[in-house]
Amino acid sequence: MHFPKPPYSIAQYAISFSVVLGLVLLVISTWTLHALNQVDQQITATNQQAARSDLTEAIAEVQHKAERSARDIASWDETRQQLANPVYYLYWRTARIRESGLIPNAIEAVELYGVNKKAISNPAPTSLMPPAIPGYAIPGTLISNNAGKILLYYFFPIYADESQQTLLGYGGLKMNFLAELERLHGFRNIDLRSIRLDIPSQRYLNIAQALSSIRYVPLQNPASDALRNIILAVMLRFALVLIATVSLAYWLVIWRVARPLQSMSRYIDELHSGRQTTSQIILPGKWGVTELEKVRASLADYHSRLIDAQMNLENKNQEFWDQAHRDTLTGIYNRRAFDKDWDLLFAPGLVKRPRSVAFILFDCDHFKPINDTYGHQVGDLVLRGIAESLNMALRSGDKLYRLGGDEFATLLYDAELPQARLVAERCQDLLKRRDFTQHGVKEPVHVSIGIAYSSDGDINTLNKLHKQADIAMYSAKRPGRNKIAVYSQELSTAGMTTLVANQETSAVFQAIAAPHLLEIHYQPVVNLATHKVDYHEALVRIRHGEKLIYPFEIFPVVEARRLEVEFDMAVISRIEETLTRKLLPQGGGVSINISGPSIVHPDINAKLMQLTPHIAHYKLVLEITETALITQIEQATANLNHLRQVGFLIALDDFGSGYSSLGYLSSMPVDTVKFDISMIRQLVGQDRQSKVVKDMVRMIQDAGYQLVAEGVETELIMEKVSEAGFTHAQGYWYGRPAVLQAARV
Amino acid sequence: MRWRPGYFTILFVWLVLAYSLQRAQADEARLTLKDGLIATAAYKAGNPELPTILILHGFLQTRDFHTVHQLAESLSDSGYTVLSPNLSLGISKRDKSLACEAIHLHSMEGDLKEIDTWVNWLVSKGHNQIVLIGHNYGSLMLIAYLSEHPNPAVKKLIAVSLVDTQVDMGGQQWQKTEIALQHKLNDKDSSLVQYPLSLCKKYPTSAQNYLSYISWQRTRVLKVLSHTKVPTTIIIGGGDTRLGAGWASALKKANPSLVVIKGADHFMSGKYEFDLLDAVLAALRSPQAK
Repeated sequence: MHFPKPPYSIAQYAISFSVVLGLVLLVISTWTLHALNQVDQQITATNQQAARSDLTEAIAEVQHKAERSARDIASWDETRQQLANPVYYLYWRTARIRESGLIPNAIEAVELYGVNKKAISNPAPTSLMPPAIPGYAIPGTLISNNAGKILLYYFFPIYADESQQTLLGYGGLKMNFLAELERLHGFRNIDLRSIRLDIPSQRYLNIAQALSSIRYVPLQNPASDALRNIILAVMLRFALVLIATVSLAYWLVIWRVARPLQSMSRYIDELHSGRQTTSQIILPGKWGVTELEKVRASLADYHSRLIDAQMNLENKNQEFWDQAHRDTLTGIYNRRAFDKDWDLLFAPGLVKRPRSVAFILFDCDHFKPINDTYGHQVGDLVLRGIAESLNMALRSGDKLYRLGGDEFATLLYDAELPQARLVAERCQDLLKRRDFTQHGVKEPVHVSIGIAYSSDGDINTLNKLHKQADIAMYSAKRPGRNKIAVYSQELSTAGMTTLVANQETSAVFQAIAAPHLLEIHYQPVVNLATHKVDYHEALVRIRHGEKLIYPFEIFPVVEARRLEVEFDMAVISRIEETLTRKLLPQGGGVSINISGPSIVHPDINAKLMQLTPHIAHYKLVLEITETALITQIEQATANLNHLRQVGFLIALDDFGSGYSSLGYLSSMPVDTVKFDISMIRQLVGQDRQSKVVKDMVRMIQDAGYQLVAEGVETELIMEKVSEAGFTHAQGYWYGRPAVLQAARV
Repeated sequence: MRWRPGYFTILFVWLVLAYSLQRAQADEARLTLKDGLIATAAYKAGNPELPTILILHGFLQTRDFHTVHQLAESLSDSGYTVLSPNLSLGISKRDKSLACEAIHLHSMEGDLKEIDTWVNWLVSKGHNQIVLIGHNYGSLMLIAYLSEHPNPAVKKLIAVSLVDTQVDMGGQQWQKTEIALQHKLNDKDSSLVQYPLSLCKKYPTSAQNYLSYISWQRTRVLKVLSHTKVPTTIIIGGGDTRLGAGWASALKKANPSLVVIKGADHFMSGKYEFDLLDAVLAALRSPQAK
């Protein structure tokens, strides 16, 4: 995978620039040194040439001087006199020629030789003049090395006259070569002290030959040396100045540009990462660069505006959050807020996980009948009142959530179980004190409270709290129970888990999706006048693998999941199949349980209308509970009337188990009233309750309703029921619910 | 109008110049002396009818010394045959004056023989009317010559600025020196000695040579002069400071033919050259010369 190359930093650029500049400087220095060396070599070669020219010129001058002296000597009368009569030659050689001023002092010795080239007198040993002229051409210049002293000899002929017709002899003179070179010639290119003659001592060489044997050291050109030194010094200074300048520039760039930019970059990163939350920009120090200070000011201004915008945004967010997390009806936190807070408990990065959590779940008992009876507006007021009461009962800082409908919850962190129970009791107490009659609600408003508690902080345990509180709450909701229940293992094993258990829930959903999983058991309803089965009540079970799930497990799930319509639709489909296949006995019928939400649901009504063709062959009874009727009673009444018109019979189920009253009954479009088993059992006694039930039966019968007694399990009950005037009976005494083939006809 | 020379003018000028050059060019006469040295002399032939002049330079000088040279030229111009020798002074073909400090191998005797050689050379050339003219020490040498080598061809002597041999030493010192020199001479010691001689304060030569010149001091000169048979004219400058005190009067006494050129110095330089020439010409024309 290709990642874009990150850009370079200013420091890297500055370092790169410094390195490049250093390399350029190095290259230039190397090139300059190379050029200087080349110039040096050229200068050295020129010096060599100049030195050689210098030496050649100097030798020529010395030679010229020697020749001039030789001419003077040769043309001097007294020289010829000596050659003619050398009787006083020694005097002449040592004194006369000197005092005559004829020869310069540079000539250290003069010697005269005969035509045979032998000295006319033995030369003085100190004169170092040869006793005979060496065998070279005359006139000629010879060079000899005498113990390191270089001597120049010049030998010349001496004639009797200017016509040079008569050779009288020869003359020879000697000069200190180096001294004369120094005297005659201002050497600019040779170190005079370095001149030496590289020939054996006492050996004479022709000057032309000797020239190649003369060793010398050319003088370095002081100007070029000085120029080189100046150039090197200038280069060194330039390099030092450049290095200092680059260092200063680097420091300036780093200190004045990069550091502020890095500060800004860090600050912006902190802003980006959210670590920088102050409303004022904090960038230390003075940067000393106008543009950067402007940028800082702009950044501060921008940041300030950003903070303002952020605050506005946060306010908006808070509003949105409130809107999103507050229940519009009650003003307390909603389901979304609960989910978030709940998820926070399991957040992996949670710094401080509460050591204990108490999950309290509130559910209003019989809220739907209240809502249906008094209308939504009253229902809403009831919910608000419940929320206010519960909220007041909570500790400071505890949140109350409305999870949906009439279900509320709160999470008590770091609270012990007694404390949670105390909070629950206070909730019940405050709710009990609240006056709902002001809203026209005459019935008492109760909530069932389930408490689940975790004290170990373990995530797995926490994760089960909601379910456990559910179980506890359903436990509390069961009739005759204390309205506050704390989850325990016993509750779990007591079957309450089916309310929320995954297995049952899964089975319900599967059955809705695939109605053939529904197993309809039919229990006969017997006409007490004929003691024959008038019709069968269809009782639903769900086949879940090998297990058969019964209604006491099914309907809590259906109601909790609000699946009444879907589930009833599946049951009706299943019964329709039975009817279509004509599996029911001819002349019989079937009683179908319809939930409250289904009665008012158009799909169910439409589905039921599909059964109308079977009315010609079978009695079709729709059983509804009084609580179902209370909910949206008008719509329910209208729908039931319509169904009655097309031939359905309506039975009011579980009469006497709720708040049903005769007042309701009269307004309900029912044909049959099915007394709840709790009322049937009361017939057995001789107390007032039995009488009330009998009177009620009689009264209802008198009103023209069919009466069905449920729970007829014994002969005694059968007799009591018959005596009381029930038209139909249903129960184990007549037959248990069974699949159709096993149903007793 | 610009003048432009014609062909004839150019030809004339060329001829005049060519003649002058011919006149100016003097032959150099050479003589090989007995010791092998070559002596030279300037020889300009003149009117054979006129006496031949041998003019001799002063002490250690050459014929090119201006007094001698000028006089020789003038006499030549006057039609005289003039021979101007350079005494060799021990140097072959000597043509430069010899320094006092030079090694002097020559002697008065040698010089006189060389003069005699030249006189004989003139005679051999057919010149038998010879007038000897000397300047300075050359006058002394000619006087000595006439004393030592009388020659009938020499008809006259003109001694210009005649000097005697002078020794710049005190009497006692001279006596000692002379004794020492005599000893050397006797001992045949030829080593160099250096004593003052005439104008030379230092004169390296042998004792013998030195004494040869020293012997010709004032007394001897005056004596020879007074006894000479050759007509002699002595010309001196009235302003000659080189002459010794009383020298002029002594000369007058020894030889009454003394011409004094008033104001002239020892070298007769300047305008006195003409006075000298006039005096010489006058002496040449004098009856004694014939």
